[in-house]
Amino acid sequence: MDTQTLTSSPSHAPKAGEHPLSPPLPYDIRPRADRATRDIQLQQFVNHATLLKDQARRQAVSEAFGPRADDVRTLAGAIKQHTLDHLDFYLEQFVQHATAAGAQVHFARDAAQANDLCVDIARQHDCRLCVKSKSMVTEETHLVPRLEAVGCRTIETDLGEFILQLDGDAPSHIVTPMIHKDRKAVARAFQRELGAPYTENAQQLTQIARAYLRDMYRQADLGISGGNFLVAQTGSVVICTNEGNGRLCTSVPRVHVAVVGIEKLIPRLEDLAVFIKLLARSSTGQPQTVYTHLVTGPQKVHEHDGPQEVHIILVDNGRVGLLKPQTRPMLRCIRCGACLNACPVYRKIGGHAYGAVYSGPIGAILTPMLQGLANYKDLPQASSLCGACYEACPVKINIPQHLIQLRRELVRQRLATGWADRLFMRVWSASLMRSWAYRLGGWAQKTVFRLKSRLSGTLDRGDPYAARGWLNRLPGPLSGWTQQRDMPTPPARSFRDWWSEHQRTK
Amino acid sequence: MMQDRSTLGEDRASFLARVRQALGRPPGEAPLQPPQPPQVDESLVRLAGPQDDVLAMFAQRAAGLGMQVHQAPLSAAASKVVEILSQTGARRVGISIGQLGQTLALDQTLRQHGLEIVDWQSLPGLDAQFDLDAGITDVQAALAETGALVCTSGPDRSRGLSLIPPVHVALVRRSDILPDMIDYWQQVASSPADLPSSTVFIAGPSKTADIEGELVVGVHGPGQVHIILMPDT
Amino acid sequence: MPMQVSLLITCLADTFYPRTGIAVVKVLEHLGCQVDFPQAQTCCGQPMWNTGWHDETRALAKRMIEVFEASPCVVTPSGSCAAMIREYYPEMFEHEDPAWVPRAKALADKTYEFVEFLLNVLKVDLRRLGVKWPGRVTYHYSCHLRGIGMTDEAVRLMQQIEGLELVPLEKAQQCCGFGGMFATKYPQISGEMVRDKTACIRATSAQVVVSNDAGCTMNISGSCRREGMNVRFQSLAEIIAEGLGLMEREDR
Repeated sequence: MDTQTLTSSPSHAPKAGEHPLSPPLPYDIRPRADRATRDIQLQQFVNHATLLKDQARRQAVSEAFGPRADDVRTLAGAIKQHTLDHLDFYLEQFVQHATAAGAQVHFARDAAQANDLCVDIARQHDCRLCVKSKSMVTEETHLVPRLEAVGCRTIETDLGEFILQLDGDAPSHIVTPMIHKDRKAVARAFQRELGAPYTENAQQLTQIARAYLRDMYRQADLGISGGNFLVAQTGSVVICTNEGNGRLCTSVPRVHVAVVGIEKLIPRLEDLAVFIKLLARSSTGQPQTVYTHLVTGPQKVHEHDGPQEVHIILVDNGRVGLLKPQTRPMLRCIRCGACLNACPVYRKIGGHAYGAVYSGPIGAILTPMLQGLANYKDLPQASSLCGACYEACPVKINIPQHLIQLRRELVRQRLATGWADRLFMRVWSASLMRSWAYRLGGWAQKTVFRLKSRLSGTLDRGDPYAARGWLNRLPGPLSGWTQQRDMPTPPARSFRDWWSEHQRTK
Repeated sequence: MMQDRSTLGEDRASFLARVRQALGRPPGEAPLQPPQPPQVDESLVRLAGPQDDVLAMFAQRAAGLGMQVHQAPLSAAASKVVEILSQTGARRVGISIGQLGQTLALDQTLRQHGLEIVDWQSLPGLDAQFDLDAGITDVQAALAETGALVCTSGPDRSRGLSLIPPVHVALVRRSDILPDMIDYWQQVASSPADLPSSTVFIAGPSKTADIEGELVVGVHGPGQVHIILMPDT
Repeated sequence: MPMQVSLLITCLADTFYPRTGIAVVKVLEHLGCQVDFPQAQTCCGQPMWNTGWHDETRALAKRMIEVFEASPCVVTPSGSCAAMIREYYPEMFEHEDPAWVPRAKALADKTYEFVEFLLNVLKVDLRRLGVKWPGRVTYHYSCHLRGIGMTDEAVRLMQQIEGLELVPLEKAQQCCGFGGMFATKYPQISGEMVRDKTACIRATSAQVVVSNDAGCTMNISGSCRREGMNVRFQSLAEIIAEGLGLMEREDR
């Protein structure tokens, strides 16, 4: 990874001085997570929106597939896994067919190469205005400031991304990028940047954007898109959007550049049926996005409209490193955002707290792999491993398992543990290997906890197997617990005590 | 026209070599055997079949997606279009409906009602379509499964008319309706190399919920999609 | 022949929630099972596994496999520990110690969460058993039930209890924020999660929360107490034991 692209900050850098998606490294999640949990507005919006989307997903998937929904997810996961297992073959096949359809295919090893390729295409065609649809890869590469630096004004056209660009903000959700912003922020941005009259009416706000952006499509000479799928069989790039900006960006300007990660490949058109049926249902609960657009090369000989040139930039940018068997399933991801919506942690801290382009559960495993585990060691740890993400994932990525895998790496590489942690773990696990030591440990904990709660006057009397006390302050690493909630003390007697008694009285 | 860009990107051979290495393939460039992808089990994935009343299903689901469905016999289709256009206040329209044009005598009827028909094929580019009030198209297919329209580019089909004008009127015949997206791909699969430059599935008017999750229709593309559902003869 | 059942009490229930273990034994014995309790058992190793200490976990897992090797069937009042054994035991030896895979699988195949065991193995009908437990409760679904493919089993059992009024809990599927070390390492996030849960509990105005995993119970009850809420936490095993008259009701 080119360090320059990691540190270069976009022209819309937030006033705070640090870009939400590329903070100073190593990244510490706590300050942003703490800020997010105190941000009432963020709590309301993110919590509410994700909950609704999660319910919509459940309903849509079960309405469509009923009790066999799980089998459909298994099939989708298997197709993706198969494609990754034979990625060399499908890449070759895709290149062959895309080229035959008249597209020009390029390869980018990293972010810098991907950006250079775009800049070069823009220069060759003397492009001055670029309309861009939503693409996570170009967020990874920070493409927009690079294009603007060479005089090609670049407009994000997805409504959410457009507003974020005006505000110098960054997306906080894969699918609904401005989930953290309210209508007042939009109204202020439009008033300030577009000179529009202040309104909080979503309909009117959208109309303001529509008028502005339609003018941009008309004038643009370059369109940049991402891609949801690459079909090896036909060399097609598939772009799914609701707003229609994806179609406009790939139809109106004379040059279209699709910047796509290599993991987006699928073998055949018929596989699209599986993924199209799952993608929007998992994402927003829709049966499919309003527009599912297959771009297969530029305008054909007898066609009258469409771009003259189509370029496809296939991006590695760390993905090849994830092809090893243990991490390969991570690349199945179709960026539907279902795991973000299902995640109780994401609901509380929002996307920016993940400090990288990909947030939520999938981000917690992808980011450390793409940007270095030492740089993002909080991400695999800041999870309760509840498994809601795995349950939601349409391609069955076992995210909790990958999180545990990464935690094991943290231990192995001694990235997240001090000597005290290591000593504690050794002693604890050693004590669990001997039942006398385990009993002694349990007894000691009980005695200390009960003594403390007796001193604080919270210890109940009564059933020796049920009556307990409470602690509201614990020292050392346990202080994290009592910072937020009380700690129950054990009752006077343990289950083992009862069992011995039970055996005697039998 | 094409320049050598090898200095900018990575060359194909070394890119693929890295992928092969990461996959644990033996060194050297062995010819690749086409792998066998998992079979798409239709019993799992198919959501509509020939046993379904595809016409009713399509009409119902298209309406559910927010498109306005009007049923009309062939003889009344043109006047139905006029009625819709007059309701929307359209003046300038683009039409790409292939063979259907003669059958319906649409141009004539529209002109009789004072509408201006713009010859999109003679326009310099898609940017000129931004001044149109409505686009009238036929469809390549329609799907009962979701109610979606399938529109393709082609010699007599514009990519823009279903996208750029604020109103899209789609003419759908009974025989255009396929049960499921699977059926469409099976139709295309016989000659995948003939795929046009653009194939689009349209499942409703352009919409967004980016501002506080509130649904707004008509963002960049058409805010109204009308379907005229007609028999074949 | 009575059914032989070995109890895996789990370290948290042993120390913190012995009454749950007692209820499990009483209910199983009432249903004609012969229950034994292998005294050598300690902990399934989940805390180590989840924090990445995998060599240590493997050692513990081997020990647990040996302790329960002779048992025909293992029952535990924790979805979390059952999930550890069923999801991760077989997998953890695959590369490191393949000889242990069949032994781990054998344990995984015979391990059941208590509610699952009642419903799917013993196929009990609490109505027929005459379980009566008048009271208003709400139910917390613990996340690790997902790992063993359980969904609404506990709810179905509760619906068979005479007099029990089950008030649905909003966001029932949302994690309470326990997550073992997560709760102490990321207190702010975990605290926010558990307060979400307690707010939902408050809205039900139920007096009792049925919670079947000791970890969740420690976390949520601790938060309820911090928030000044007066609710009691009980496991379904206790409710059933009380409803059968095998134990005195805790609130009496």
